Amino acid sequence: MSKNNNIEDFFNASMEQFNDVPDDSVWSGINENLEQKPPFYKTGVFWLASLLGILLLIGSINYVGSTQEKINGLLNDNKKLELQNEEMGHQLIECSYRSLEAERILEEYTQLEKSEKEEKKSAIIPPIKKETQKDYDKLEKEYIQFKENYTAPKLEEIPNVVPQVIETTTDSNLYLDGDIIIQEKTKTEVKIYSYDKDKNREEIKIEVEGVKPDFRPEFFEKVKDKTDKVKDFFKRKKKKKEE
Amino acid sequence: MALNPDIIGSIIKGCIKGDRQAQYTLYNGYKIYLFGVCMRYARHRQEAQDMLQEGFILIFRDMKSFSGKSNIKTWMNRVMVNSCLMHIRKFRKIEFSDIENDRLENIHFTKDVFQEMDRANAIIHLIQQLPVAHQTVFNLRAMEGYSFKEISQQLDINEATLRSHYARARKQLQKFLDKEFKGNE
Repeated sequence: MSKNNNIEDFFNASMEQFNDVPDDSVWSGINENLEQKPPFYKTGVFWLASLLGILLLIGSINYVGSTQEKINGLLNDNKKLELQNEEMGHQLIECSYRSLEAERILEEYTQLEKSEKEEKKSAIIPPIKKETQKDYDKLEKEYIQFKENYTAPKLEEIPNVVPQVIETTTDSNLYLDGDIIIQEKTKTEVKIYSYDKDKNREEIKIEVEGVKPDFRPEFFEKVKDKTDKVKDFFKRKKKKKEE
Repeated sequence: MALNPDIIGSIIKGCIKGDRQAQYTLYNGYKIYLFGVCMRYARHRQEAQDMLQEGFILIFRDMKSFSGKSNIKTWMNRVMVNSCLMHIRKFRKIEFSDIENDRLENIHFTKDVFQEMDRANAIIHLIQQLPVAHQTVFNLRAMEGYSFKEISQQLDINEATLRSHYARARKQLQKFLDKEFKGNE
């Protein structure tokens, strides 16, 4: 050995002589270990199951995430809708208020329209016969002539009327004012005013038979028929005032 | 017991299939040789037996990876060495520090001891007395024939340190053997 300077060769050569036999327990241990099933975590099933589990988890997280997103979206939409509803609520209240008002107006309008229609119906004037037309033209001419010749004493300050003096007294004048209140098929309601010296006005409504209550002499004649009644009214009114 | 080269192929196939008889045949054929390998890396016989058991389990489990290009003995040796290193890493601490206990100084082999023990066991006994780092590096380099680069990659230690450890181990063994043999002459 002392002559052998190559220690590696010496050791390797020495190891070739190794003849020690391990105990039988070694094989028993190996055999026992090999018989054991590999731990579950080392089996393919484990890894496959793990992979599936992970995929399922990721999927679930994504699903939950997307669902949460949807829920959030819906909640946001819901909030928006709630806000809109709140606003709409006010609008609805306003609308309902308006609609009630509108209904009322509509009803009034309908009634008005209805009454207008009825009035129109009632105001339909039957076609004028030729003879009547001639008479009418004659009357029209007379009216124009009357208007041209007409002079109204002391009436410069009374607007919008072309009055017919009914009666003139020392302290008051009684005029026929041209206000037509209702014109029906056969009669017309007109207002008659009484002015005193201080221009205080009193009024009375009277009904006159006939249509077109313009200032045709025929019409005034009709009004004049009622002058007594009118005079009485104003006299009584005056008395009452004085009392 | 050396295995017949004609039947080794079928034994390997049997081992791959998990045939216990084939596995036992293979074990029986190489248990002494591989036990010798384990003895060099272990600190004592019992640990060597544990290493052998672990190594063989690894061999049987990894038998599918044996390509057949190399010798089965070489392949098994490599697997066994790896298993031994794993065992050392697991149960012992390899310290590659500069300060090493010169344990060989305290060992005194007499001529009788060498005569009583066979030379292989005496050599193994000597190697087992080296510090773990020296023992491991010496085994890998001198006995297995790994290059310092390969050992460096396996143990994750730089080559210079390994060379230093190897030189020290070699020097210690040489010194001891010289002293023993000269002293006993």
